[in-house]
Amino acid sequence: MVKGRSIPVNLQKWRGPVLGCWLALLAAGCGTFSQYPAGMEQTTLEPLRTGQKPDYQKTFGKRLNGTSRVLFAMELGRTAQLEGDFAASRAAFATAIAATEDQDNRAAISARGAAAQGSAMLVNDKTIPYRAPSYERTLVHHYQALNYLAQGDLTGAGVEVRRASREQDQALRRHEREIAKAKKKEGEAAPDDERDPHLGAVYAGLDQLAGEVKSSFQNAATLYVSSVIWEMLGEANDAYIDVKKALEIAPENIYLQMDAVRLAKRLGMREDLEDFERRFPRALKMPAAGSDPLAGKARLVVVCEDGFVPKKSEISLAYPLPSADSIGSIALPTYAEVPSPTAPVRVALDGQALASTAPICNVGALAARALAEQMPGILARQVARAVAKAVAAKAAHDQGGNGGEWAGLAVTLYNVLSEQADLRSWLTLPAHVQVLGAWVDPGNRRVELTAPGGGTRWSGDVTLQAGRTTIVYVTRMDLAVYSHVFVQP
Amino acid sequence: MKTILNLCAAAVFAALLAGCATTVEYGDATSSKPISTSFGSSDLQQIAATMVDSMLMDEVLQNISTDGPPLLIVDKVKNKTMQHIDTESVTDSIRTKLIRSRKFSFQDRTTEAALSEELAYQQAAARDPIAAGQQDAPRYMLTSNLSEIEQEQGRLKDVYYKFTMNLRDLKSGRLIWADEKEIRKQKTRSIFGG
Repeated sequence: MVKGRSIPVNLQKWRGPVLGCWLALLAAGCGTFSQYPAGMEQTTLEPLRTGQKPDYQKTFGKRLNGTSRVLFAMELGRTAQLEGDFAASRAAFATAIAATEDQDNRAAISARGAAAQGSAMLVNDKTIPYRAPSYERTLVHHYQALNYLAQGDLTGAGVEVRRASREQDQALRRHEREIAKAKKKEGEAAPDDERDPHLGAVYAGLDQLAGEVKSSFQNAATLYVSSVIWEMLGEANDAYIDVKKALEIAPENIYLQMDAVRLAKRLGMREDLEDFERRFPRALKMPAAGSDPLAGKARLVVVCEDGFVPKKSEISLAYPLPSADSIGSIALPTYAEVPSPTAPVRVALDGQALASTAPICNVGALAARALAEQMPGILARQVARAVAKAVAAKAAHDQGGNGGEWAGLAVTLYNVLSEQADLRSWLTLPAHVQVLGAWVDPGNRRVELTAPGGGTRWSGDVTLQAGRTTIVYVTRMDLAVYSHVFVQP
Repeated sequence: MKTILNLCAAAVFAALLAGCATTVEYGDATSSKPISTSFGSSDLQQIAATMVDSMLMDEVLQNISTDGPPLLIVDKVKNKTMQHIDTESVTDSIRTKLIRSRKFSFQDRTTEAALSEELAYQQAAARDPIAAGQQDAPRYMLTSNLSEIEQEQGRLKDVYYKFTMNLRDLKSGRLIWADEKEIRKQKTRSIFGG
């Protein structure tokens, strides 16, 4: 009996450290790289930068079942597409879309969700299944549309364009509802103004990167590519709607202005044309879509992606915890780096200068704005966790005796080790997107893209057919340039 | 008192259970049990059958084959939804049903390349070759569209599919028949679940 009783006492003594070690192991990362984002850099980003083919199936294939499956399916889809493996890319994006739909369709209070939130409460946010923010969801459909286009399936590309549009509309409606809800509560400011004064350093980084971008979910590059696909499908009205939406976000873009004028003339939008006359005098000479001056011409669209979207970084802050009557240390994600601004690329046709590309989307700014929008939720979880950990450390320490000290030390050690910010985000996205659209004589012609500092960025022979569209899609990632030419099926 | 308490507990439990399953229903609930708000195979069969029946029953078509069944061309169903649907399969179902009605005759446009090759061979080597351009021209053309509108309000998702079909007389250019069928599916996301 005496012997039997001593066993539980010993277990009690070691329970704290054992539990601490086990939880610390959990904290190292579930279903993701043991070191993130360093693992991504090593396996994927660095090879992409230097033009070496990353082993994307090996890197991401085994990670498609973990908590970050949506994220790694997106990384796989993008990397495979850059390498020209459209079938693998399409399958990966389909996985990401299905997993995201599954998350959306799950019950409002689900056992899986509660379990994830519970383990996040004990460990950190990295154990929560990755949910793609709206700008990433939209871009999944953007790139998936290109996969269908590459495989000659214009109808499939149309489906993805509709999905991208639904994604942006739903995000806009959610945002409007949140603002309306906040305004209803008397004396409360809009969500954007509800900034915690202790998080100055976090928001400073986000604001610097987000710049002028007002919302995270409106992406003019996707709207522009959508409008091009709409026109391929012969749906001028849908194309016009997307061009107008894109113009609201990027009113300075001359190609959007010219498309708006061209389509407004074709569709007989008189009031809009009067408005464009005032706002975009440079674009007014653009003839109506389908009219004589454009008959027999081919449409050349150039999309230039540049750099990598910035990575999140961790910032540790002291934060007052009134309910635990102490000051806790919390780790939050923010953006510390701002990618260098992008400059227009000159496009030439058969050696003759055509025009320069114009900026349409700053993906880094969308990412920063998205994180700022998520910050109140992230902070609430971090504070709750810090309180729980502070209470646990105090309780362990108060046990008394040697065991109590050990347990207290273990819990404190675990708290320090496990306190990590969730730095996951889609890292193979570009930092900037620029576009150009032109109506040119058809034929087999040489397209040349010249970098701002001189030097050819890309050149190639392109088939331009009368009445049809050819998209030259060029992505520069530091030293390497990836390109694909999509010809209207 | 204890019995009342037990009854109340049972009622609360039953109410909780009722909220446990995510449900999907047809707006008009006339068909077999749907499993999701996506456009599925039973929707496809239902739509193809109903639309073709509607067309064949129409007055305009009653005397259409008095001089022998006219040549009809069935255009591939246009997918304007947010789902990747094999519209070729819907088109096949429609064409098969029409062929079996014996009111129209058909050309197989999917073997166009093989036909050209055969005609070229005949021109070069056959004794009594059939010239290209000798084939009968279709008199009628059947076109179809499938579109989708989706709305979400809280836990309720409402998906509306509309299938439109038009029959055009290619000689006069007139539209001689049109019909549409709607399918509405509603899905309520449950409060509790796995």
